[in-house]
Amino acid sequence: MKNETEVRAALRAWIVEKNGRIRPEELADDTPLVAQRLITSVQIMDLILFLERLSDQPIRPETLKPGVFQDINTLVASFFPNLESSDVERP
Amino acid sequence: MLSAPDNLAGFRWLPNGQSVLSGELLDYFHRLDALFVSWASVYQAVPYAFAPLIPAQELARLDYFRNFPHLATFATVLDTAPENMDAFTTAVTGCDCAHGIPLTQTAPVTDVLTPAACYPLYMHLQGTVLPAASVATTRGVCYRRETHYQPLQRQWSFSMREIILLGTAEEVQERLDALRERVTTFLQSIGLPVRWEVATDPFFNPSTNPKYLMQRLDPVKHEMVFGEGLAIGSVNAHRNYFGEVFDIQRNNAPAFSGCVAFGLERWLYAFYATYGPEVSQWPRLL
Repeated sequence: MKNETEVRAALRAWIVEKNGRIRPEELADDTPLVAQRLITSVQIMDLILFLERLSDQPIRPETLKPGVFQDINTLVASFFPNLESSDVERP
Repeated sequence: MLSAPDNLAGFRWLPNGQSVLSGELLDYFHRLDALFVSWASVYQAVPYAFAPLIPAQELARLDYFRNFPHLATFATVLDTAPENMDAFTTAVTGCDCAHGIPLTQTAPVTDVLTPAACYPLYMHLQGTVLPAASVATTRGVCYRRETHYQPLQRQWSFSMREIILLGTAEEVQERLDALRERVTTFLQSIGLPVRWEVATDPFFNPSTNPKYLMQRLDPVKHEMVFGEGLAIGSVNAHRNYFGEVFDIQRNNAPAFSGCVAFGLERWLYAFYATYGPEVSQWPRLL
């Protein structure tokens, strides 16, 4: 089971790689992902698949609520509600 | 809710999903449009008048044909080869054309009747750098093929006034918010029962379209809804989608954009349904 720091790092790495323009240090946990189009509709299904692998839980897109893809914080809160906490400070 | 404004003077419904306006009703249409233009003028909006045909190639860059194929109205023309023209003139000779014209070979479709008033603006601005936040306004006749039509409420061709905002994310959002407030204030001042609702665009086969999912997860469209669900206008945030597709730059990055759109015939319908068939009894404008 991954801890929260590892999950946030994995999400950040995925977004940086898929976006191709933003640098890791520019991507905070509250950086708007959709509003700034760091992830686009083309990538949204890939992100859902990645979240399924990372959380080891199936995701039904039709049940998703507005706002869950707002930023890394909302992704963690929505898809990883039972994570082990970490002592490492959030970037 | 009333559906067919038979008793509305100056209105005539055409069986092909279009309407004719004249007299006092047409005058009100123009005054309503002028009101919307006055809201754009607050920002020194640049007025534009675009042609109704837009290049299909440009519309394809917006993924329009994959997302909204059911709405597209193509400008179809015949292949001009003499034998094809001969075949066509023979085919239509004596044709009553009640069930359509028997086309022969058509030329490749290169143009489409625009489905939105603001699309030509992004195409027009492509490859430009905006030195400052920018506002434009245009009124266009828009064409959307539908399965059925209703007078003033759902038409194949209809008039849309748009106020289009370009700039950084903050510049666009600030003006979208201000315009939404202005619309709300106006609606309240005349007592028109309209509410704001989150909406999505009418995607083809939405359940399999990631763009639909994206709009649902991060709403970018808020409609002015009259009565049982008639959207008479909308406020739309496009993020930097058009800026990216058409290379419109602001502050060394793709420009953000947004628009406020008013469906003029639907506004007329809302006024008719609320204030009755006498245009002279409708709220005074300007």
